[in-house]
Amino acid sequence: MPHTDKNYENQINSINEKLVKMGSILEQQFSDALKVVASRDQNLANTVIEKDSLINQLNHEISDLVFQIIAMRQPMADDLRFLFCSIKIIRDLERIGDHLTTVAKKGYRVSTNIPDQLIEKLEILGGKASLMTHDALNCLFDRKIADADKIAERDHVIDELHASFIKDVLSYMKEHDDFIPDSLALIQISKGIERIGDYVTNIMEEVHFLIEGKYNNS
Amino acid sequence: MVNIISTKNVNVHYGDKQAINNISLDFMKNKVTALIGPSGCGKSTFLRCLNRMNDVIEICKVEGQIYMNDTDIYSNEIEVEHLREKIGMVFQKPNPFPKSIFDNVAYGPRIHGFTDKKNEMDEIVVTALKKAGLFEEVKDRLDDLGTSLSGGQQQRLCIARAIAVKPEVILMDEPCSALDPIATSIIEELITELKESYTIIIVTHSMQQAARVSDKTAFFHLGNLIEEGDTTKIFTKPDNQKTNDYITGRFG
Repeated sequence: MPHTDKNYENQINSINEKLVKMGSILEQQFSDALKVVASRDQNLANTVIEKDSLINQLNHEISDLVFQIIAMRQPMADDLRFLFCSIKIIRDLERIGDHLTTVAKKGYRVSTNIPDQLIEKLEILGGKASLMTHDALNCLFDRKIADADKIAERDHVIDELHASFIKDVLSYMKEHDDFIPDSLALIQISKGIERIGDYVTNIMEEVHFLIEGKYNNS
Repeated sequence: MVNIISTKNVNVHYGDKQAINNISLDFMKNKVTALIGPSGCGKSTFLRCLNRMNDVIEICKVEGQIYMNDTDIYSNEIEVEHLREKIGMVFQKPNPFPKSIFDNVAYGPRIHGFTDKKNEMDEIVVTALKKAGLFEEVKDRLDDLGTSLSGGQQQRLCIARAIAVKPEVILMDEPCSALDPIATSIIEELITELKESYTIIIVTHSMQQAARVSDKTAFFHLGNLIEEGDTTKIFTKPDNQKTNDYITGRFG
């Protein structure tokens, strides 16, 4: 049921629209950042880096709106939960954007003589994290609690793939001294993707709270 | 926690029109319970059942059980005056008697024959005014008319008048709706202090006020009790969608 006061309804809708926008930009960023890692495409890397300012701008716009609504409307119940969660979610989305910038920055700088199996492994990790982010953004709008909890659980897979990738990079690095700078870049890329998994998990915990009014402690 | 008032299957009719549908609701001792809901939802009617204020409305018929401390307040043995000594009431608009501040407070104790000694009556009046947070403001003009006070002071005078007869429960029907924000804050602070000694049941149109002052909240709609529970829960994650829609301003 919409709010009796249409201005209030519009304000709440506007936050939702901005969240959708933030999410769709991030999905594109994620896809592009992973392409940069595979192709070392500097132009695409620059696009990812430049677009991060859009994410930051939306973060501030949503913050301002939430702040105003709290002051002017004294929101309650589901509105209050939505605003409370939005404020926390946009922070996580903004951090995801920062990590994607790192992935793109490091991605185009790594040399082309990295063994294929390492790049492939990184692509698998990136693909899983990207899909997890995609599903999480859908869940943020569908708001199904079972989905939120399931998506959050997928962070373990990301963590394991990251740990396994780091192990492989280290053992390769031990045998190839000249590979150290590239290894450091690959580790930063992998770490960035692993952190994105953590932020997506945080977002799913917020969606759980948004629906249920309490956090999932299991 | 002990219930001081228990109601069961309460139905109220005004002539042919049913205003309250089978409501059962208990009130905990030394807690503030807020009754909220849109106009005409029955919250004030229900409140007025609790000290038999509806008795004076001829077409009003109250059915069901209402107990205070295990005593049926609608029993024939109950004297309504005595009941209202135990369950006082404060109204929407401050309504001091056209008498002095002192006599406004002393009125109840006098008619109930609390004392005929002047020093004892002085003490009753001073204690009630102090509890109502008004004494410091009026101590030098107790002989002035109650109606000469500001709106907020008049409302506190009415609270002092209710307290003076040593009630256990105070019913408040939108006690701040005629007051400015500062006077409202003073009354709200007072409500929190008063619950140490009394049980308070407040009808309010202000959701924020209910959230600020009450421990428990009950939401009424079209004469039905939709949901009741801890105020923190009702205002953050109510169980019922109707409650959610009302408190977020989607209807009512």
